[in-house]
Amino acid sequence: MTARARAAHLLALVLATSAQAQTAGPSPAPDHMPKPGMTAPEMAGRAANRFPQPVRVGDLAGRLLLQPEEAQPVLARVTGLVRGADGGPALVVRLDGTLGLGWLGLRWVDWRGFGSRSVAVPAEAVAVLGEHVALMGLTPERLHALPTFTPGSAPEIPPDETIRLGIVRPFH
Amino acid sequence: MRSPFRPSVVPDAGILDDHRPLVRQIERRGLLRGGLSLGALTMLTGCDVTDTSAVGRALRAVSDFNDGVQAALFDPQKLAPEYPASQVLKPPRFNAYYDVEDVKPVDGDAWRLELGGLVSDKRSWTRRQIADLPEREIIVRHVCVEGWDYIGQWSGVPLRAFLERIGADLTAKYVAFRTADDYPSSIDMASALHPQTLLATRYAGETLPDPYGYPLRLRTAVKLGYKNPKWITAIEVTNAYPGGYWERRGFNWFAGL
Repeated sequence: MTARARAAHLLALVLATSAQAQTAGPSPAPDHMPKPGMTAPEMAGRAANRFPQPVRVGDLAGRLLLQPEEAQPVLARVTGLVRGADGGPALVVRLDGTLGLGWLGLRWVDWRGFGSRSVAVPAEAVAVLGEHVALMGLTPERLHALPTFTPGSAPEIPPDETIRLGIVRPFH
Repeated sequence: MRSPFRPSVVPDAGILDDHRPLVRQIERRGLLRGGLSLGALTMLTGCDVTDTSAVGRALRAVSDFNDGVQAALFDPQKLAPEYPASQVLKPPRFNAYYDVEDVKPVDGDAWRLELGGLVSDKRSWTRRQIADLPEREIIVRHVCVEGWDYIGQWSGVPLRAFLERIGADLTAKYVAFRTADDYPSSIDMASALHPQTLLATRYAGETLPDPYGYPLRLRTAVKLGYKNPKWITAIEVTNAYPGGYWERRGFNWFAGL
């Protein structure tokens, strides 16, 4: 095999793995996982039972948003917090683009490629998982269906402010 | 993939038949020479090391041997690294053998710490009495057997000071704990007397929140995370091996760092 052929083979393998990494396969749904169609009151009720703890807003920026299953796939990254239409806090998270290269760990790359966009997730839909946050009230499908968040369209919450978020144990 | 550290499914009994030649090999060659094969067998079968089969007994023996080595290597004077307050994770990670929604908070006013075993003063303690004791703060890394870690800031009474206060036999082998969430645990006396082993009552300067073990939990810098029971209700000093929740499910008992 020539060097060019080997390079092409490697590229094909990387792209194939990338595509596979974006697609979480079907998995059993334990109690802690979000139920499709969960209403806002249901979401808030579950969040209240997760012993909400004080969290400094500035400490949330940069955290990974994880899917609550054993492999803990990364769904997005928190970029900031805003006040939602109801006055409650919402996390602005940036979803990967269609190539989803975040899984490569290229953290120095500010990936804003094809399809990359931000959405606002209600605080009741997430829980703190150590240095990460987990998406507890929305399925990944509902997360991706959220409308694109436009910067400046909602008041930002200052970094020194403290909000309360539920906690959750690891999903291993 | 489920964590290999949480065996919960009892394997089919037929597995032993499938691996009968390997079991015979283990018995013939002895534990040390069979160690490598034991590891491989565990991968193959996902077997519960608490079972009474030859494989289970062999794995248990290797685990006990590891405990002995770790205890022999433990230096009671050596301190674990400490960190600046700026690195403290707030809130800390929650972990238990159940979901956080199943945590049952303890009423701190009604709570009592019961004492038993080789101690001269077996009177129970209230939260206020414990709060009156001199305390120490440590900022140490919490290391979980699952592979994650974080830096936490814990304050409380050094366990050594408490054991001395109640007239515990400091030459005894074990200090055992019972908890409100039915998570029995125990550590060796050398680790109990280590300067970075606390009966913690606060995290990051604040009263311990409910899900992290209020009003009293163990926090030791010299053991893996699962050796830090929360919601402690009783302490016993003993020479009889007390085991623990995860140890009964195959985890190492010493679990040193």
